[in-house]
Amino acid sequence: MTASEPAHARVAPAVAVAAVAAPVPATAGSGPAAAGRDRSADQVGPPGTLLSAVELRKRFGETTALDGASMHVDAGEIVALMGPSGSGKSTLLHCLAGIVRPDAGEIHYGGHRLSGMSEAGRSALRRGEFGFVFQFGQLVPELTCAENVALPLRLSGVRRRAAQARAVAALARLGVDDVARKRPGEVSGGQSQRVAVARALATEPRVIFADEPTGALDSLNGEQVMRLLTQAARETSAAVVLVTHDARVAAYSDREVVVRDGRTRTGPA
Amino acid sequence: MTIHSDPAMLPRTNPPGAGRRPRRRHPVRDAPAQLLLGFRLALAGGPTAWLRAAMTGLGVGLGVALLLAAASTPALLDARADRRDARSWLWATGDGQTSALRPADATVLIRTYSTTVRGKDIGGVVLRPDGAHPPIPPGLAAVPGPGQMAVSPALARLLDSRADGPRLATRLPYQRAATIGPQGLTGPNELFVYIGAPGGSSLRDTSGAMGRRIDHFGVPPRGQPMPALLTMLIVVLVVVLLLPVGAFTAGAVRFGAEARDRQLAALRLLGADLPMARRIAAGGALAGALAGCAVGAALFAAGRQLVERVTLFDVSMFAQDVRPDPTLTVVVLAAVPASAVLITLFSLRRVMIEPLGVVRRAARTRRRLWWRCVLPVVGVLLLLPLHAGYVPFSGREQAQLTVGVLATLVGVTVLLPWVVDAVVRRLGAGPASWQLAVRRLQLDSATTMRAVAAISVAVAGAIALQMVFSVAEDASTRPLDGRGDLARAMVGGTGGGDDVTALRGALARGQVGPRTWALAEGTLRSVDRLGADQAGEPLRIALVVADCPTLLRLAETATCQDGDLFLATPAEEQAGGGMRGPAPVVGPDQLASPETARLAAARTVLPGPGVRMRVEDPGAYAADGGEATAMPGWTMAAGAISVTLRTDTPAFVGILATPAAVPADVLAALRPDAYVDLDRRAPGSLDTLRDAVAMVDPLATVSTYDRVAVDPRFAQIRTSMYGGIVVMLGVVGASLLVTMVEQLRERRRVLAVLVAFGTRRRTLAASVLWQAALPMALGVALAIGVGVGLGAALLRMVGQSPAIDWANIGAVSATAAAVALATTAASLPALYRLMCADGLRME
Repeated sequence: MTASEPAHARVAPAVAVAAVAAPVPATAGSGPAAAGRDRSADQVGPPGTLLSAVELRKRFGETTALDGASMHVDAGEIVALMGPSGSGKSTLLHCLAGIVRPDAGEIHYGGHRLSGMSEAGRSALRRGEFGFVFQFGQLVPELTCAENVALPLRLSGVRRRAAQARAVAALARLGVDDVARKRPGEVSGGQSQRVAVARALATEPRVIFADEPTGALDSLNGEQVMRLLTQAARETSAAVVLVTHDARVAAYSDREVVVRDGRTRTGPA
Repeated sequence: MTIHSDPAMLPRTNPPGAGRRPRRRHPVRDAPAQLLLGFRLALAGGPTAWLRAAMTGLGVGLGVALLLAAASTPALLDARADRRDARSWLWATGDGQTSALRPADATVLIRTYSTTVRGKDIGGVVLRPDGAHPPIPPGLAAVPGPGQMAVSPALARLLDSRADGPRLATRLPYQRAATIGPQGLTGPNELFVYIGAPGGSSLRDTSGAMGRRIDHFGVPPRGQPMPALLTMLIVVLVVVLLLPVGAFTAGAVRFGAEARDRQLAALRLLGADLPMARRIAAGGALAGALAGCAVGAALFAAGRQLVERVTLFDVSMFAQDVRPDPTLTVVVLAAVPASAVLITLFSLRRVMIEPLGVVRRAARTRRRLWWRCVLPVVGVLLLLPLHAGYVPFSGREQAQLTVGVLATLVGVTVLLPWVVDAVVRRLGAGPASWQLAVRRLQLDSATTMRAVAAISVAVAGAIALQMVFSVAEDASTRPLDGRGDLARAMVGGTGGGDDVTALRGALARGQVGPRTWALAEGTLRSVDRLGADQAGEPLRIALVVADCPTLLRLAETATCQDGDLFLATPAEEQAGGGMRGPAPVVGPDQLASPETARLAAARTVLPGPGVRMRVEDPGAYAADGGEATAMPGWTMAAGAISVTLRTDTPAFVGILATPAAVPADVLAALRPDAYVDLDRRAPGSLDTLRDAVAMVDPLATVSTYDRVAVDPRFAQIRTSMYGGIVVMLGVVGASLLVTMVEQLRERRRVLAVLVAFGTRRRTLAASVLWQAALPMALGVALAIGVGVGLGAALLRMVGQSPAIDWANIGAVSATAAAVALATTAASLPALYRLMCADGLRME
């Protein structure tokens, strides 16, 4: 990193390391909202909780996607959200990531009430703290693979050359630096998904949200992607929230949360 | 064990039909079913597909509506021309200077009338029937009586308006007796009036003619073939207006191309081969095109009802005149769907439609420049040998002109992709919004460029036409001679020379301008003709009668008394020698000299003492069909003083006289005229002058030297150009908006991912703006180059040097850029709506 990069880009790994070394309440020292309040009322889940959701409800028209879902994610933890198709897994993930605002319920991240934040605030959080991997990669087709990986860095204020260098390094870590100059339409599905993982890791986020990251891949590529994702997450102490209906993918997680009919049930770790 | 010898008795081990050879496909026989399948697939998919089909239909429909409007132009122009011809009378007599007809019960004396109120031109006719059964103009039941008038509905509204009514009532102080019907007007909002000449007024107009006597209306002009110059302008105008419509319609057919490609990939998975997939795609295009034809017909029908409410540059249209030519209508309604199919098939040539939903495009090859330059170069080369004067074009020349203009302007659409590619390929560094836009253009600029190409063609054509019109206007306008902010107006009174006093007083009271010269003027001709045997022309000279203060401002003379007579020559002739010396003065005995005749043919010759002169203007005598010999005469007196005319005054080479120096009947036979220098910076100065003159002579004509005396067809073409380009830029802007919204919808999922990553709204908005602005800037730059080149070629055709009016170029370019930016901004609400997480949902 260079001195010209924004401060939050340097803070993230230090906080992640501290979270792994000594579990601390997620709300400790994390914002004026927490000062002078009874912290036990803010925390959902055991100490060390980084991200929590309580009684989330969400409807899309006539369809109830979430009906009182609750869960928590600890710093550095890999959690799999499992359930049949249409159970509300992706909606829960989108709510946790601040992409969608729930109709009811509370979401807390790092001591801040995510569900009460403005769109600008949530957007800033997604830029600096979160990473995303989607089922079909969803890379921007007109950018090269390296530019796709660099894009979140650029949106966070990192200069172009520095962002490009970090992007190439991220691609190399995932073994796809040979496609850096190619466009997504020119690479295979497996390569495209590894580029998407590199993009999610580029800003060294505290939480990675992965929605069916292997859904469009064959088993060999899928295993490769999961291995690389979880390995990189553990190296940077990033938490991973993973939506899947595949037990083999869920096996990479530390804990499962079952989602059924919009409600959650914690499965065996 | 049973053995069956008959194969039919053998137990079946396979299902019926198994083992049969598959039915052979017959492309021609199967094509209609595949087209129909494509048709149905284009509408399948729920609201999203319907919305896409609606956008395609709207885009194509706008193009079809415009093409139908263009197809209505012949009928529209014919109907206007028929009604204009039905009331025309100018060609009813021969030379117009003297009436060919004698006054009779069925004749009428007639002259034109015109005035302008705050920029609104009012035309009309002044009539004085000779008997009880004069010819009646179309649209009227009877000729207005003396002091009465019949007005068009629009003029009636103007007379009743608060803003212009009182002023107009001063100029038209006549009793409103009737309203002109539609058959007597060229358009519903035309400002036209028929005035029954008040008793005692004369029908003299500025040319000195005493009006004309006719016995019927509806004498169309003698068939005159269209001069080549006008043909050139019409061809360029038609191409400039229709080519962008074609480009825009072709672009609309391509809406939803990515969704179509995904559909085709699914069909390939199910077993459709490539030719089949292409036929299905063509069927889908047909759906949009046919919907567009229906929408276009509906838009045209709706627009037709509203056309009477619109007046563009003083031109209005009756709804019933807007009738598309049946043959052109069939061509449009057949060509649009056929073009849609061809464009779709052409666009699929680079798409490899593969099963498993993978659609990859063929590798982008770098665009070549050399063949793209061929079209515009060939176009200009075709135009250069042509000459557009007043001789009509031959059929071959007209074809050459049309092909040349088409090739040059189509060259813009062919060159533009290369220019954009060449520039965009070198771009990259910049903020995230710039990078997103540049990369988008590098990957696929075709969609945006299709809309931009239409604007570029319009800009190039408008610039070329502007260059031609500017030069043509300059050529028909008298130069200002360095008068700066002064514009010279001329007043032509209808009375006699002794009415000039009242006119002078009205101008003084009205404070119309910094300088005025009110005088009586006319033309004198010698009674005896020049040359031997009295066979030549008479000696003609101008006569101006004015008071001394006016004469002292016209000529350099130290003294002036009533009774003085002056012989005036311009200063440059006074100073020069030889033929440019002072105008020679000839006596009565010199008129017969051949030398005098030759001299008079080469320059002005002044009459000396004793030369008998006669007023040549018809005056009041010709109104009764009197003979020219009844004109008042005058013998030149001795003692005329030679003077030099002052510069920057109305120049009169001839006789300047005080009122006492000429006989009363000569003075009465002259025209009461005035010359007024107006301050062109003063708003409404011409209107002020007209108001002042109308107080003493409502039928006087007021005109300026700055007015362009043009062929009326020329004015109509210019009006059509501005109106057409305004409408066409608006429609192309709408197509650009639809294109951008469609593109945003296609990228809904990508937008949702960018939002998920925390991309700011302003970043994406800036990216959309850059994506439109960059091709637009390049397109306008290219259009300026091609437009100037085409304009130079057209000017060469008319024998003029190219004159580039950068202000006009700037105005046209800025208008096009503003249209592009406005439509981009209009797409932002759609962008913000699409910037939501719904794009991430698979359900």
